[in-house]
Amino acid sequence: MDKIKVNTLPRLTYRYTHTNETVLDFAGSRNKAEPEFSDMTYVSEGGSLPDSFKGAAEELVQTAAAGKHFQINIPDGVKTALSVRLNLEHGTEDFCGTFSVSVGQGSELNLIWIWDGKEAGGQIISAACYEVQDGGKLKVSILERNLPGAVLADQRHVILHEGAVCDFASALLGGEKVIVHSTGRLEGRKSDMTETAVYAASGTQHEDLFYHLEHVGKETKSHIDVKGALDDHAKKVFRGTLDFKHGCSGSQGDEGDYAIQLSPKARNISLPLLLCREDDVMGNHASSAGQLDEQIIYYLMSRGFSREEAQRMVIESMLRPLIDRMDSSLQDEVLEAVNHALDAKESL
Amino acid sequence: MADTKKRSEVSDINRSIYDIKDEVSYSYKADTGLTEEIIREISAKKEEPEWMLKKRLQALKIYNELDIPPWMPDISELDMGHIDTYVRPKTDMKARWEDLPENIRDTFDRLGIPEAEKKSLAGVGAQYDSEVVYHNIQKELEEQGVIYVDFETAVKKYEHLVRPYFGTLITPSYHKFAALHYAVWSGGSFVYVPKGVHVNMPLQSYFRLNAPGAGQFEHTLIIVEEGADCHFIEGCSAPRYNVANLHAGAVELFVKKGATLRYSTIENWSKNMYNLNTKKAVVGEGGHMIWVSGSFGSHVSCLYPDTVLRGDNSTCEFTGITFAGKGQCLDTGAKVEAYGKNTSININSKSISKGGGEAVYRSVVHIGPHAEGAKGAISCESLMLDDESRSDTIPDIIIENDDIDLGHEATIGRIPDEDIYYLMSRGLSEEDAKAMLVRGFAEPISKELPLEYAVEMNRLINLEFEGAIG
Repeated sequence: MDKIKVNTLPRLTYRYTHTNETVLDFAGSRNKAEPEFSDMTYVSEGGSLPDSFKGAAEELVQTAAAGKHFQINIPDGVKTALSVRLNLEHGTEDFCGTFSVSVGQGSELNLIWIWDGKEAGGQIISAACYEVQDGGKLKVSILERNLPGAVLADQRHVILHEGAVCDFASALLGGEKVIVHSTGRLEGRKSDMTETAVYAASGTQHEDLFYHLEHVGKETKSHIDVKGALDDHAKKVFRGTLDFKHGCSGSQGDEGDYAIQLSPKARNISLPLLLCREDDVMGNHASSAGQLDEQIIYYLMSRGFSREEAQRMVIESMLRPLIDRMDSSLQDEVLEAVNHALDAKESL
Repeated sequence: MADTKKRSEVSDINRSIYDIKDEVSYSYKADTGLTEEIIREISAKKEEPEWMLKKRLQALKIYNELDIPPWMPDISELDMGHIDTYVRPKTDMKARWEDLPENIRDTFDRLGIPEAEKKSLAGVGAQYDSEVVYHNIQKELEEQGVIYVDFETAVKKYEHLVRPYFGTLITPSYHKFAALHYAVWSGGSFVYVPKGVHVNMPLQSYFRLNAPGAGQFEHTLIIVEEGADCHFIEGCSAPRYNVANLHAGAVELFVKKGATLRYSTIENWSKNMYNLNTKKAVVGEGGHMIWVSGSFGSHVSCLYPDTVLRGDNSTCEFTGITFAGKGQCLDTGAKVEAYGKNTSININSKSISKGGGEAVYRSVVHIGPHAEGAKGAISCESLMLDDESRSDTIPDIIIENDDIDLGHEATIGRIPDEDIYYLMSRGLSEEDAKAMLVRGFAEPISKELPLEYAVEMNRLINLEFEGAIG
């Protein structure tokens, strides 16, 4: 087992807090599982990620690159949907692989990822490069569920050209160590990127969430919104950066990180960074943490709900706006997975 | 559209008063650089007790072992081999302004220190280069047991009060420049406010560095006993030279049960100064620590007052403004560590950057595992006045228990057009609207400052409007 550093902040801060990066025990990968595509029309095998790809850690990128590479190329003017399932059937199985996703001019791709597996153990180490051409639209819904004890690393880099829109909506409801490393480069004028994520972590789960969106083109927009609940000894680290480069005038970005703490042992770390080299921009970030609002709980209890039901309703109502951003075919499954995750909590 | 706008001009700080250089003269100067021999020499010159020399030498060892933190702004042009760590002025300490040598007296006169003492201060200390040259306190406070003396006097005369506290809050291993401070510290103030005593008017220490290529390493130690309160003001300035100057002071504040300490700083060092200062407070049960901080000068600043809320129901308020102009990198912010129950944290930080200046807000708020009932509000606003400048916000929030309520928000950008339009719709001219908004941005901070400093700050941020805000 090697110790590797993942999700290092783009601009470092004090060392004594040990929050500049996360140290992860990593044992490499066995790579047996294969991805299942719902449709192979635009999918082909072969190629590789660009050399410049930087993920959560060099070791994780190399591990992903040791697996197969798949290309998803959506030609200009095509509107389509695709789902990819990474299913670890046995606890001894891992998935390692890389993907290049290209959405042509004026095209639309609705992409669904499902990371699943019932047995304990296993790893999914993925790296993906997305590029959306002028006027293209990419909507990505990601559901990670079950996979007890697994290490899950979702590393992705997005490049957006003029007027391109990209919307990632993730439900992080499985795994033991969950690494998200998302970087986005809003190159084209009026390009727009959104990253939302919900999580419900309990036991000793660790959510390590890294987002770094660079505003390069003029009048670009970004939005990061992460919401979740932490119970037992769970830990969440949010490293979100909005990076306004010189020349990105007229751009706007906002990021939010909201956590409900359900246990005195849960640990919540938040580093919402704003880096700015351009004055004609608006950047906002907000971060909050606290318990469930007791007044709302009491109100719901006064209407006949048990305390547990009331707590679930409040958590669900907080997560619901982000779940609604996911593909409609997934929403019921996500709610079920949220409930399943909450079932595992000791305090509810 | 945005590219065609003509930006407002914000003038640089008028530094004429601060930049007047006295003739460089001293009664003694240690060799340039940092060696064990120099430290032994400084200690001998000060006729210090052995325990202090031992502490200095231990600190030097730590300094040599520690690296420069990788997150710091670039300080590669700061060469300790070219810094004079100890420059003793040509006078000993006086209790009357008129007894000071004319050149030193004129310097403090120009800065308005004796005038302020007459009008609104309970006590004044003035440091010139490495030594305190003037110290005075009102008689009635002295009679109540309040001690306000230069730090050298405190080490010798009040060792029983100083020794248990000195170097315990900011230890030499806190970081490299804290170690440097303990190796070569000189000057500074010691304040002791006995139990239940209220110091109604502020005490003020003013630090002036006149010698080119010199460092100032003053140590300030304040102990506010149970139920007492005090307001301490710190001012600093230096004329500009072509060589680097260094300020690496340390401020240790002990706020006991039910006590209140307000610590106000206006830092206006010259733009060749590396200001690597360290401040830390520990607050007991029901105690209150209030920081008010204005950072305007220096080439590079790293300043993050740290507050440890050890006692239950203790509170911390931090209000700060940073103005980074051409050639400046001001990396400032605050740290709070909450360990007591039902603590309260309020951080309000603002920055303005212009002319290629870089303003960084850097903070840590750590709510410990037993700090149940902690409440906090953190607000950080950054105003960019042109597209050559930089402004970064780097907060670090660590929460280790569930019974907390903490909110953090930050904004960055220029003055919104809609605010200008709104004020214009209420009858103001465009220029008046812009002037009001820019001045309003700094107003929450200036109102926290003592009046004469608020006036000074408003003068420093002297706006000249030309067309639209950028």
